[in-house]
Amino acid sequence: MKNYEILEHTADLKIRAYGENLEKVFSNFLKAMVEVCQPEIDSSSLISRKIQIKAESLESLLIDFLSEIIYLMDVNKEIYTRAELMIKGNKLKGEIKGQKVKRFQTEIKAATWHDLKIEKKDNLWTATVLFDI
Amino acid sequence: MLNRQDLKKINDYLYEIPKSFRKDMQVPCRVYADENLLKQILQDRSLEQLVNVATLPGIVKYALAMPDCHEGYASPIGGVAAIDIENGIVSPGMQGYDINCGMRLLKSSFLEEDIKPYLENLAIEIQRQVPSGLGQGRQVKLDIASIDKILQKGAQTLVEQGYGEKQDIENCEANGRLEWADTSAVSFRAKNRGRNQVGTLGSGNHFLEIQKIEEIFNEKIAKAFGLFENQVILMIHCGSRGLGHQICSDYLREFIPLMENKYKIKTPDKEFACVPFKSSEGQRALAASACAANYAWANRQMIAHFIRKAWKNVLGKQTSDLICLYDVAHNIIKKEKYVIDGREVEVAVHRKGATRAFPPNHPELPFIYRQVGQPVLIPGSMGTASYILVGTEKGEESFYSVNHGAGRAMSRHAAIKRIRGDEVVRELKQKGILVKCRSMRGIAEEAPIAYKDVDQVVNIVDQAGLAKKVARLVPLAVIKGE
Repeated sequence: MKNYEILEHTADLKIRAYGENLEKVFSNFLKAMVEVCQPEIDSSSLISRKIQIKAESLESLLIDFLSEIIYLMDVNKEIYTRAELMIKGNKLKGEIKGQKVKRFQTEIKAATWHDLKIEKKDNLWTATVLFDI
Repeated sequence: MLNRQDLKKINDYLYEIPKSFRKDMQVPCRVYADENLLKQILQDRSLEQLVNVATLPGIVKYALAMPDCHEGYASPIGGVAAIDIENGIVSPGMQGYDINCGMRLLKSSFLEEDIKPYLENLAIEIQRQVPSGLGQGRQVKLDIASIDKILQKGAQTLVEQGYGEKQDIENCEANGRLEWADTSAVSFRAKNRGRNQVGTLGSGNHFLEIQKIEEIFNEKIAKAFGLFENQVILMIHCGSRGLGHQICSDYLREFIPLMENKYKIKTPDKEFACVPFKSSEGQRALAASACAANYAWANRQMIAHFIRKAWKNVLGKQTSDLICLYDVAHNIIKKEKYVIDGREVEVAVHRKGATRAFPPNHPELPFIYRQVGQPVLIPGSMGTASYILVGTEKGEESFYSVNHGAGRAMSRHAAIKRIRGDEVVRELKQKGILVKCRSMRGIAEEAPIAYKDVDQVVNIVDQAGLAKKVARLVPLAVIKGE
C-alpha cells in the first residue's frame, strides 16, 4: 500500500496520504514532506520532540499538526521522518522523530484549507492537503 | 467545469462571466486574455476560483483575473478583488501566505559589454552574498526588539541603519512601510521565524537575475525611468519568508471558526476565511499583514545591500552605483479610493499575484515619476524575458492592477517528469545565460515550459491599455540562493 502520492496542481503541491488508521496517515504526510523538501541531513544527530494538539474538528487537527511541523522545521532546521501518535477524537498526542538538517532544497510555505478532505473508505483512511510552496 | 460558452467577449482582450452564471455571485467576473490564452486558462480551475472570488461580501464592480492567471488555493493566482471597507470583508487567504511577495529592480550605469568579462564572478559572488535562508547558514539571528522595529518601519529601518540609500525608500511602493502595521498583532511564532531570515531569498520561484535591456518601446518614459538599451539591470523577486507565511496561517486559523460562528459568513472555499473589514479582528489581521509587508520590503532592502556589496567586491574601482528603479508588491491588501457609480469608495484591494500599476499624477507616486506613471516590474519565467511597463489612466478599470509574471501552465510534478534540471541549465547556457543554483529539481520545476508565454501575456496587458510596455529585458545570469 502506498504511504502517499503527489497529485497534480498547477502551482502548488497536492499530497494524498493513506493509512489503516489516522495515526499512519498523519505520519505519512511527514514522509511526503521529506520527499518535497529534499533535506541535506546532518547525520550525526537524532532528535525527538513531544507534540500535543487539541482542535475543534479532525480537519483542523490535521492542519494544526502540519502547521506545527512546518513551524518546527523552519525554526529548528530539522526534518521529521516519522510520528508516533495517538489520535482520539480531535486530540493528538505523541512524538515526532527526525534529524537536524544542513539545508532544505525546497521550503513548504503552509498547509492550506483548500480542498482539504479526510475520509475513510473500505477500512482505508485517506487525507488530501494542498500545500503552498 | 466552466467552458468557453460561459464567457461573453467584451473586446479582443477582455471576457466576462455574467453575474447570472451562479446565484451566489455578487458581481460579474472579468478576465483579461485573448482567445488563445483563454483556451489555456480554461484547462485548470482558474475561472471557477474567480467565480468564488465574485461571491465575497462587499466586492465591488468585478472579480478580475489577469492574463497570467492560473489555479491557486482560494483566488486564482493573478486575481484581484476590491472590497468595500464599509460593508465588506478582509480575507488573508485571498492575499496568500507570501505577503508582499514582489519585485525590486536596481539599475547600473553599465552596458552588457562592460560587465561581460566579470559576469561569472558577479553571479558567483551574488550567490555567495545572498543566502536562501533554507540552510543553517550564516544569517544573523535578530532579537525580538529588532524584529519589531522592522515590522513597524519596514525598509526605512534598514536604510536608517546604513543598509541603503534614501532613494531606495523614495522609489519603493508605500516608501517601504505600511503605517497601519501593529507589532502586537503578530504572534511570537511569526516573529521567531523571521529572526534569521532578513536578507534571505527563499526557494521555489524566487530568484535574482542579472539582465540587460534588449528593447526600448517608449523612449520618453525609458528616459524618465533612467533606462537605455543594453543597460545592465539587477532583478530581485522574493517576499516575507517564514514570518509572512506564519502570519497568514495564524489569521486563517483564527478566522475560520469566527467566520462560521460569530459572523455567519459563508464562502465557497474555507481558504477565503474572512471577517468584516471594520471588525476588531479584521483590523488586527490587516495590521499584522502590514507588518509582514514591511518585513518583505526590509528583506528586499537587505538583499539589495548584499548585491551592492557583491558588485563592489567583484568590480572594485570600476564599480558603479546600483540605483533602485522601483519596488512593488504582487501579493498584498492595500486601502485605495476609487469613484464607483459616481461615489468615492474606499476599498481594500486584494491583489493575489497581481501588480499595482498607478497612472501619471497619482499622489502616491515618487515625485520623479509623477508625470509619467508608476514603473511596473514584471518578471518572466526563468531564462525568458522580463518587462518594465508604466501605469496608465485606463488601468482604473482593473483597480490599477496588471499581471505579476508569465503565469504557470504546468504543475511542478508534471514539469519534473518532462525535463531535468541539468537539461534546462544546458539549454539556457546555449542561449548564453548562466545559471547558479543548488537544486536541480527546483530548476526543472521552474523550467520555461512550465509557464505561459510572457511576451503574449504582457502584450495582452499592453493591448488592453492597463499598462504600456517601456522595456524588454533578457537574463544574462539567473541566481538562486546559496
